[in-house]
Amino acid sequence: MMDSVDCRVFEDQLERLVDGTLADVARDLLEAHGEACTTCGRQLELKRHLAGPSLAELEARVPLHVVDGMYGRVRDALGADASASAREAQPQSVRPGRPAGLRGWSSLRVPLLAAASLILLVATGALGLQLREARLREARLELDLEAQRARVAGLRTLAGGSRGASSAPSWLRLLSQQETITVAELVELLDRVPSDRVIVSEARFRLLKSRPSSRMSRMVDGLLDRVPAGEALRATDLLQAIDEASVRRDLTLPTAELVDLLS
Amino acid sequence: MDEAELRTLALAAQEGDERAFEALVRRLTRSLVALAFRYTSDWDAAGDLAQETWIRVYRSLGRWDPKRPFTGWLHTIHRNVCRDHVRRPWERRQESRPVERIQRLEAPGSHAPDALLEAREFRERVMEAARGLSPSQQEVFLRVDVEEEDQRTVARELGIRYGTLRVTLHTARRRLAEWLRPLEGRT
Repeated sequence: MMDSVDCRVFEDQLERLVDGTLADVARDLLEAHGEACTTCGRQLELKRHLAGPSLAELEARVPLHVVDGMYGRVRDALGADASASAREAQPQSVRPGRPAGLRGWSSLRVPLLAAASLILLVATGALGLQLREARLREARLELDLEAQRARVAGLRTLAGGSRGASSAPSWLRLLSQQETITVAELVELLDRVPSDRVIVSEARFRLLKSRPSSRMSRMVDGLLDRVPAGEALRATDLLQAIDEASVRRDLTLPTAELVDLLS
Repeated sequence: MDEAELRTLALAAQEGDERAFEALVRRLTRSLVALAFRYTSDWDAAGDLAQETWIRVYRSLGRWDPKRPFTGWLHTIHRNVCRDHVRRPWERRQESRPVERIQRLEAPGSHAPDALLEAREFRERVMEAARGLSPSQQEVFLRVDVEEEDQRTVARELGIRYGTLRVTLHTARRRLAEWLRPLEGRT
């Protein structure tokens, strides 16, 4: 069957295709497109794998052993926390008596202690290494997280702090305070600009298309070619163009050039 | 039991009535486990997440505003617990996966253990991959495709237009489909 379906149509109808609520002809056309287009085909597979029983059906299937005793387990967990706090406050001199069965162990004390010490030494060495590695991993993750948070906070500030609250000129002016921005961050930022706001006027848009190409402007030209000629560029157009062109989200853009192109 | 009855119980629990809290746990645990199962495909792990949610609820009952529906507040906490689970892959790696555990995956009316184990592994890979999405893509993808919430409701709650939600969702699906490609054939 010839593939006459656009990817955007396929994506729009994906839920209905998986639900089985499409007419036979539409279903056949979309399935043929899914087989011909790798990207859409994979999305269909992903959606089919994730589609499952409804929450009501799942509720009916929950095994008894998971639900039974939940209150007791919650109370135990809360109680364990409370008693752990209490133990920390308890004096160290309080020790339980030795069990009767272990009272004749004195003659074995030295070899047993030596063996135990050796085992402990090896075990603590290995554990220490694992612990050190885990701590290093944790520290690295925390640093990454901090850096990401700072970057997101910076972008939120650039965007005026709330969705739809900023104007294009002000966010571009503020954007120029950063040296670079990734495409993913640009998408985040554009998502906060009111979607119907014009960010490039029609006249400026024509100028952009006619100027000599640099690496940056070539990429932007490619994006802008997808927007109808003779129209101003709105935030939502740029978002959609980035989306349709499948630009790599980790691509870093120099903000100075970006501001020059869009302001 | 309707929302008004749950509210009455929650108010009593807020005042320190243990039996009211127990009644809430008995009444609502199934729905929490069902939602968590969408994230884990493992009943025991879903039970652990529900337990974690109840612990957080117990500790923060004082902050619940009785003007808001109790179930809405509960599910917000539960969703955060499930999201934390997605964001902490090292925790899942530490979990042992002995063969005996497959036996416990069997539940009345469930599929074969192998299929369930496969579904769980696939879902774990999807969750792992979802960590690479941007925060807005992650939010939309988890709520629409994993929790299967109504898209217009999600858009309204997130304060974005329905069209923006659709674009974000399509981008997230496309990226995930791309990232999951190397493991195709195993699922």
